[in-house]
Amino acid sequence: MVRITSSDSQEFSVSQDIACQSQLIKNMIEDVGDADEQPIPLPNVAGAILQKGGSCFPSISNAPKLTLFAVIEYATMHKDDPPSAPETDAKPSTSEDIEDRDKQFLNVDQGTLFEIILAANYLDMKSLLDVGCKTVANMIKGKTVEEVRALFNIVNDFTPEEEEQIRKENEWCEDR
Amino acid sequence: MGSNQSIDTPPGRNRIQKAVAMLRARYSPTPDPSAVDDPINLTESCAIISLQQPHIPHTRQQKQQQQQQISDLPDELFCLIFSWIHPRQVLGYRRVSKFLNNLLQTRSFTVLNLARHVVRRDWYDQDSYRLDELERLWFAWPEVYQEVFADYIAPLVEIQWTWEHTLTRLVEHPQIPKAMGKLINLTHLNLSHSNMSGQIPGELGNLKSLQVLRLWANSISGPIPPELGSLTQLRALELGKNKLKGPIPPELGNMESLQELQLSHNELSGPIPASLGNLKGLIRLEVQSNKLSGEIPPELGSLRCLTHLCLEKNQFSGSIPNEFGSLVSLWSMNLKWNQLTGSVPPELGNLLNLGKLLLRSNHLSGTLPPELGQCMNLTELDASSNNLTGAIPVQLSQCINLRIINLSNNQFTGRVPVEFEMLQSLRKLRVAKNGKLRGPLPRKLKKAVKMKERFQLMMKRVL
Repeated sequence: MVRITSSDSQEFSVSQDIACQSQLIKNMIEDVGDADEQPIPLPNVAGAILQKGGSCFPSISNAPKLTLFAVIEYATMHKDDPPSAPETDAKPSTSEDIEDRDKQFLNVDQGTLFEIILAANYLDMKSLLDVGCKTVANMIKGKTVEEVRALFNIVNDFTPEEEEQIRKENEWCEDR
Repeated sequence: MGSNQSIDTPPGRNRIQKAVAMLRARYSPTPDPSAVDDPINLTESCAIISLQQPHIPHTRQQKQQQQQQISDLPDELFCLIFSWIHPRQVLGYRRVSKFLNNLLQTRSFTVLNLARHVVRRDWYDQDSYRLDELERLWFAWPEVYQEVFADYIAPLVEIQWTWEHTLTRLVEHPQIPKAMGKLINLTHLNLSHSNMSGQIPGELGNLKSLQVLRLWANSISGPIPPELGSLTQLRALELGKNKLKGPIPPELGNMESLQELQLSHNELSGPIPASLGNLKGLIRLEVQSNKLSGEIPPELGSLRCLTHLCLEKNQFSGSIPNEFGSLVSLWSMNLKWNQLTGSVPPELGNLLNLGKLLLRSNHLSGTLPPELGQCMNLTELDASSNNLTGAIPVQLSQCINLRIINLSNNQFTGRVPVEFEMLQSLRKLRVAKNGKLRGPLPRKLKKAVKMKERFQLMMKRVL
């Protein structure tokens, strides 16, 4: 078992094959040896995620949820996955390639989703990072520029002239 | 913070802390490069993450009070997210904000995005190959995309913009990418009728294998880049019907394999460089309808393979070089609508293959040399609208293939030689506006049915 703690000092005890889906933790254990019984602190993994959303974790739906908990949930779900085949040039993966269970797992509000992506990035969990990013990409796909701004609260900081210039350069993709 | 350094830590813990500090430095959103090397900093980092210590709030952790927003993500995650959107659409989101506009045009994003969506090919079927959708979009992409994508299509041997490509209108205003210069396997580049604008990138000079470069009928502007002169394998350079300006670079004289030089219908100015005389294999030289000026360089006389010389509709001055008598392969000499002076060189009589001699609308003077009668293959002689004087040479009647003779609007004297009756193929003879020319016309010419009507009309004034 490996003991890890989140930034808000919540401690988790997980089996090594689950914890080692994080390349970060794996490297740490390899560096320091598993004989050490000190918990592994993960200062960058977000603490509380917001109360709303996260209905896909019924077991903890009433308690403040932890990103780390969600990530462990994901790692548990995928612990028996075969090692991912190296991506070949011949058949590139697309953002549509998301397993149903992952779709469900990531069916959360934006804030939680970004929290999970940040954690996956920090913990160096490639598969989670990929599905997280694909999920956001799918939210963007097919939306107009204005819709994307609204979706993510992004402020248009172009002058009308600058925007027109880009629109002109982008003629080939604007109207499709 | 100083007191933290004196905390008595067990050895095992210390190792974790070191590892964590190292990773922290690596993964922290705003990495402090000194954190790993500087021992004091390292200890401070350890203190921050130490479990017993209360948390020193981190910028990110402060934000956790609110909901995470996409704008809180570090750039690399933005790149990862947008990289999953196909290159066909993703650049459309440049317009979302300045940040995205910059990010989507970074090299690292481009590399990631194309790697996700584009299959790298190492082989193309030369004969049946047509540009696919992405390859056509390449012409409209931002420079960084063009450059990275060039690596994907580097095996291309031939690029041809086909009629269907124009019809589908995938790209409204394509330009020739500078990155085209990376496709070093190209032997044929044909972008004729493809609505190209912008300039010809000098980078095309890198395409050492190029044999054919055709950019006919586009809206390409700017100068002809001198770098093209290093295309020593090039057989055909066709840049006609564009908006090219400036001089013909003398460097073009280095294209030692060139057979076809087609620069017509542009706005080129200045003289024809004498260096073009080095193009010993040149078969066609066509620079008509430009603003070229100066004298025609006598060096062109050494183009022994030249069959077509077209200089019409320019502002060339001076005389027709005597050296043109050495253009032994020449079939068509078109010098119409220039400001050439002097007389027609008798040496032209050496051009035994000459079929068309077109000198209309210049300021040529003197007589038409009788030596032209040696040009047995002449089918069309147009010397109209000059200041030619003297008699119409009777020797022209030896050119039995002549179909068209136009000598109108000159100052010829005497009569139309009766020997012209021998010209069985003659369809058109115009001698109007030669005030001193006298009739009557040779009888057989009058009887020639096909030209009767035209003929009588034209001849009214001189009979």
